[in-house]
Amino acid sequence: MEDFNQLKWDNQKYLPPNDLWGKIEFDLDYQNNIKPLLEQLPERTAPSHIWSEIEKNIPSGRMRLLKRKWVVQTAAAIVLLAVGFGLGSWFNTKPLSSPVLSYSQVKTISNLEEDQESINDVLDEYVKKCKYYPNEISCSLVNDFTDLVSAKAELEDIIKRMGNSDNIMQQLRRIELEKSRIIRNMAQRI
Amino acid sequence: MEEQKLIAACKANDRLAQQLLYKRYANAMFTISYRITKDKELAADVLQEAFVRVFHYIYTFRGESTLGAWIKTIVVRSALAMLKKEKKELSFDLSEVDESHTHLHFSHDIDYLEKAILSLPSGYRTVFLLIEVEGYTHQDVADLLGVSVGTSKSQLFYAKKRLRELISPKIE
Repeated sequence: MEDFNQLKWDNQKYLPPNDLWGKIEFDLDYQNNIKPLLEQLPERTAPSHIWSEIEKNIPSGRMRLLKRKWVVQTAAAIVLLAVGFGLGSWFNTKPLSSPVLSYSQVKTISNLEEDQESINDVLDEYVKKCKYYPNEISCSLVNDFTDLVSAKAELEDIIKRMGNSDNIMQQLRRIELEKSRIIRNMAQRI
Repeated sequence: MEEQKLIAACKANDRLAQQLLYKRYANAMFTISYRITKDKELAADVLQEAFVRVFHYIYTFRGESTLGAWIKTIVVRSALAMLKKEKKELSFDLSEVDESHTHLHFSHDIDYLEKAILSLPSGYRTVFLLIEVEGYTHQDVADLLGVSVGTSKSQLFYAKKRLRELISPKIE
C-alpha cells in the first residue's frame, strides 16, 4: 500500500498541462466546424488571356510541324504519295547495269508495292511514335525517310530541267533502295 | 488524353499537348496563387510565370510525385517569389488582420470562410493554406518558406485560432 501511494505521488510530476483540454477542445471544434468547409472553398477561373502569354514564352520544339493533326496527316500523305510514285517509277524504269539488286531487296520493294496500305500503316505508326518520342530511333528513321523523299524530288526536278543522265539515275536508284531499307527497318521494329 | 502521354507530348514541345495540360490545371493553380497573393493581377502573373517554368523544365519531371503536385509546387514557389519581388514579405503580425473582410455578413458560410482566410496576415495565411487546404506537411512548408518546422507548427496554430475567432459568431 505504501508503495502504491509512493507511485501515486511520483505520478503527480507527470500531470498534463492545465490548458491541454482547451487545446483538444479547440482542435475538435476546428475539425468539426471549419475543416469540412475547406474542401468546399470555391475554385477561381484563370483569366483567358494567360495561355497566349505563356505561348509567347515557351520554345517551339523540333516537332513544331507535327503540332497539328492535319499537318501530321498531310505530311504522311505526301510521304506516301512520294513513296508510291518512287516505287512505281522504279519498276517502270529499265534497271541499270549496276549495282545489282539482291533478291531480298527486290522482294521487299515488291511486297511493299503490292501492299500500299502496309506502308501507310508503318509510316503512320512511326509519325505517331516520332511525335511522342522525338529522341528515339523512330524519329530519326522518319527524318531520314523524309530527307530521301526531298532528295528524290530535287533529282526529278533536275531531270526535268536538264535531262536524264546515268549518274542521276544511279542516284535515284540508290535513294529508292535506301527508302526501301528504311521502310523494312521500320516494319521490323513495329 | 492519358496523363503519361500528355507528359511525353509536352516533353516533345507539342503545343497542343501543352495547351491541354495548361487547361487541365489552370483554374486550380490560379486559385492557389490568388489565395497566396490575394491579388488577381499578381495571381495571373504568377500563373503565367509558373507555367512557362513548367514547360521549360518538364523534361526533368520523373514522375516521383503526381504531375499536379509538381506543378503546384512550382506555382507556390512562383507566388512566394512574386510576393518577395513585389516587396510584400510574408507577415506574421496578427494585428494586421484585415477586419474589413470579416465584418461583412455573407449569406454563405463558404464565402465567409474564404474572406476570413484572405483576411489573415500573409504569413499565417500561406502556412494555413499550404497545410490545411493543399495538404503539404510542416516539413514541406518549412522548406518552401525557409522557416523551421516548429515555426510552421506555431504559425498554423495561431492561424487556426485567429480564424476561429473571426468566424465563430458565424458558425455558432
